[in-house]
Amino acid sequence: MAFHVILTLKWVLVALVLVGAVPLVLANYQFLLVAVHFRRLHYDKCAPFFPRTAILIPAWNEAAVIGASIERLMLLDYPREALRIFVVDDASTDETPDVILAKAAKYPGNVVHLRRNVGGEGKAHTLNHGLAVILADDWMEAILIMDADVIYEPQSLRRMTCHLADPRVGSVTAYIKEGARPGNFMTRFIGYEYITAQAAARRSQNVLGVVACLAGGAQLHSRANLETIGSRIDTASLAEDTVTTFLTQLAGNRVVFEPHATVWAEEPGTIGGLWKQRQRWARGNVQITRRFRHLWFRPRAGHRLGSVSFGLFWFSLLLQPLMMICASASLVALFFIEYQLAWAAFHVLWITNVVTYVFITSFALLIDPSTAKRVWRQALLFPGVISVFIIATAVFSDPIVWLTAHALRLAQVTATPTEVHALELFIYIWLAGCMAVAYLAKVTETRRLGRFISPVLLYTGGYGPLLCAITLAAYIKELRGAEAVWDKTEKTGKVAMPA
Amino acid sequence: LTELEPRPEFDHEVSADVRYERGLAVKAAVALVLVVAVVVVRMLFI
Repeated sequence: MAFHVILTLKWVLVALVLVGAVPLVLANYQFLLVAVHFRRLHYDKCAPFFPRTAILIPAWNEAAVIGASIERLMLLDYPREALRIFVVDDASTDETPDVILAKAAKYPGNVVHLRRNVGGEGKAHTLNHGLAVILADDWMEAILIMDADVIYEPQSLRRMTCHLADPRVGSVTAYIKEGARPGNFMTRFIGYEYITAQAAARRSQNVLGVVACLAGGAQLHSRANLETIGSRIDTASLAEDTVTTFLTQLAGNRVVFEPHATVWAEEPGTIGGLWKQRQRWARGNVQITRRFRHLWFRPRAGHRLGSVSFGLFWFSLLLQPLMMICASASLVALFFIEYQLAWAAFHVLWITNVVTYVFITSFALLIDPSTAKRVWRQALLFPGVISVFIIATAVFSDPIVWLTAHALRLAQVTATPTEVHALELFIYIWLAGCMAVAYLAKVTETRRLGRFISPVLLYTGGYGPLLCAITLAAYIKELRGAEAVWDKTEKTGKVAMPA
Repeated sequence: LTELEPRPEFDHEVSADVRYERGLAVKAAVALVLVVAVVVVRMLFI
């Protein structure tokens, strides 16, 4: 009886270890879909199309960036008479109103200053203030919602509007690229992340016919779509962009990602800034998962939100931290029950990791070669130095073991079997432990010597594990019912678009 | 919605974009070849 119980337990643990491979397998599947994106392009239904477009920009203390953004919008390759920029000043306390008023005077009829006297309620409320004004007359045929710091390439808007020539398309989003210059290691990590999360993931969503989220900095809606979804932005969620995207598709309208409409945004240059921004997004995603719980894995006619592939992608991202912890804990348990089985299960998991790392890193860098030139180091070290070393060991185990043994001999150190087992145990724990190290990078950032220690910890733990740690922290906040506060990401006007 | 005169560069742009997207299939193949190379090196030489 006891034998059967232990046998069952062992195989359950092996299965739980392999759960850790699920997000990796799905990531490979997602990138393979990118390869067939050319078969699902929407260009055959596009036409040169220039609807009268209202550009809506929420602005709270954006004096550092709003002027440059408006100037770049006025350089758009788009008929000037078909453009109106509405900046909703959310009771700013800096020079934002003066900057907007100066631009309104410089571009009469094209720039409109709207002011909320009581602000701070969040982006959705600010957008709704602008929408009420814009929808009050019938001039607007399409609306572009963007962030105050986002810089549009001249052809980007018309590349988005051409999709609205197809009346089935309700919304279009663009490729947001990280644009802070000169930037630092954090912005370069984000630059690489955006190749994977935007250029690649959104292409795969185009292939599936379902888009998870319209980028907050670049979402174009037809008037008809906006009116269909209630003429307002949801204020109950921290992920109002995703709610808008879901409602659009639930209404039967198509959402398209246009990868060749490029816009540039300033992203957080500190771990603390990233933590704040991404925790808001992650909490928003937890809220969305709950709110649309009746949709998941239930295919229906009219939209693809219930498709199995989309559900798998959504949940693999949302549950990745739990899967990592689950795999790590199971490996540790197996280590104490049957040491060799733990090693075999770990090998399967790690070979999957090697394949994923090589395929995704190389393909992602090839998808956007101009960004790759700047971020390839961060791409290589995305999982963290220690994980990359483990990956290398899985591939080149014999040379690395030989080198390590040689180095130990030179240092006159002899590793006992217990020490070798301790090293294996460390590797198993590292699967989840890397998230704790990444979290430490955030904690130490504002401490004494944090400037030096924090980047070392981040490179050691990895940027990917940092994102998982943020998601984990978001679960905890949601479970505790923490107040949903809109923490605005600070913008300093460092975006420099390449000439 | 307002439709203006078609511009000749539109078709040219779309063709370039389609070419780029087709090129991604080739790039994916290159990445897969790299994966195969790593596996072969691992199995045959190490």
